[in-house]
Amino acid sequence: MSDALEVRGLRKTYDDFTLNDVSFTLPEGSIMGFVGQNGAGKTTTIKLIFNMIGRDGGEIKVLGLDNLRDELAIKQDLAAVFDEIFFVDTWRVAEVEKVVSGFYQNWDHSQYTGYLKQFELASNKKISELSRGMKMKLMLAVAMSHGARLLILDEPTSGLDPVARDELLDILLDYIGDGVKSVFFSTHITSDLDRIADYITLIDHGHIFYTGKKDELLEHFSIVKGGKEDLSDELRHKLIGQSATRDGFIGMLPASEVTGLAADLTIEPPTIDEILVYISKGEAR
Amino acid sequence: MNTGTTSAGRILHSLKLDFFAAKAGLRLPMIVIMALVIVGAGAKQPYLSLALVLLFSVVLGGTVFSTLEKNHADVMYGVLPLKKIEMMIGRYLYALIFSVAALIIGSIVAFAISRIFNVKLDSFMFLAVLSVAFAYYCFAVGVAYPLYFKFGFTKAYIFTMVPTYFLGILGVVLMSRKNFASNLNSVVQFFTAHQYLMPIFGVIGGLVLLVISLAVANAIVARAN
Repeated sequence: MSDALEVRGLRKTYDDFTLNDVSFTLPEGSIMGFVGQNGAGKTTTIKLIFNMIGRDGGEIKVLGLDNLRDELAIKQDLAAVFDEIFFVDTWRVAEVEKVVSGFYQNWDHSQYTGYLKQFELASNKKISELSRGMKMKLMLAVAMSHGARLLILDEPTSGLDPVARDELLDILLDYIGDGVKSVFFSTHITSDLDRIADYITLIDHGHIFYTGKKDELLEHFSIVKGGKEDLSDELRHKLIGQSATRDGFIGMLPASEVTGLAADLTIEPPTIDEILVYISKGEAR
Repeated sequence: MNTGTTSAGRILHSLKLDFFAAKAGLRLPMIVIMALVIVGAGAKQPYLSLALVLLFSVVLGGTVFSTLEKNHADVMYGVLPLKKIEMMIGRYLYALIFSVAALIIGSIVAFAISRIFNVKLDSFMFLAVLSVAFAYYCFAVGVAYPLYFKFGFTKAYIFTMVPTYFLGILGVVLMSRKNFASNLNSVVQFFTAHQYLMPIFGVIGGLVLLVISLAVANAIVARAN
């Protein structure tokens, strides 16, 4: 299986933030969730993939092509959905196609109108009149109507109500149904990942903390709970992150460190949310 | 063959995008143009209407930046298969077409006022106003656009008046010189004798300014990246 997206040693430095040595790979035909708290570097990474901002180091390959050298060819096969719609709000839904379609070699008018019908988007409506969920669907309709093989979404579900979120996730699952198309989407809503992601990349303060299969991520870590007296220096050292409770502590540690712990400690598998929280606490420590 | 795959095709599509973006903002300008026509008509001065319409178009030329900036178009340009230089060429072509449209509208207005109020249009004055207004438009765009590309419309808008201030100061300096009147007179005499040279100077000078401005804008954006 070839890779839809390959990021190697990506670096970008701002005055107050550094994206440092970011590397991950998304195999073709799969969905990867790119998870991290706000300001972790998700949008910066996505902007670097689209070459919207200059990078300080590293390499990005999209569908086997270099994203700088082959930028125009790549963008024919690459589509994007951002948390804010980027079409002019006075345009009507039908006008969006008139403006955008000419840029794409494989624009499919019948597919676009089909999506408008499926998403119940009236072609004479102005963008400013659409709800947030409808705007998201319009961006998806555009993104999926030019034969793109990699769809990148930046926080697509933030601000959507549960029904709209559910619909969006169904659309994405349907999109990768042919086994050739792939989806890379950033989010901090981890329940989305539980539903559709095959792979997860965790980013925290500009560093990749984990990248790999979703199921392996959950096997990678364990949650440990205990009383105050159970928190020895040795255990404290092993914990990736911890928080105090009224009676003791809760923390996360690599699953490989579980063997040999005191028998009265409670060991549980983590949720993605917990992993995110304790990684963040560990960084702060 | 899909025109989106050639550089010229992408520039044309970018130009089309600009017109679609600017379209929404044209209602107010049409009202203002009507007002300027009325001012010129009231004064029975066709040149005044012509000059006002052309000067107003300088201000209008920047509204496409404002509309696109307000709608996160930087992200759209980053997603579309379009090179930054192609987008910039498209924007300068937009400015050029916009100025030509303003020249045509202004000329029609001037002719209409001259007919209605029976004011004779002097060909020298008519060509002089057209040529100077076009050159000024290109100068104003030439200064403003690189700043818009670098800093964004909101931050750089204040600089759109810089060319006017600059020309004002230049005018004051020139007028304060002793031999200004005689020099101006010889210039007027030269162009009266060679009227066909006025639009040539205006058009070529304006176009050269736009090309220089595009090169500067491209260098600034490339350096920023």
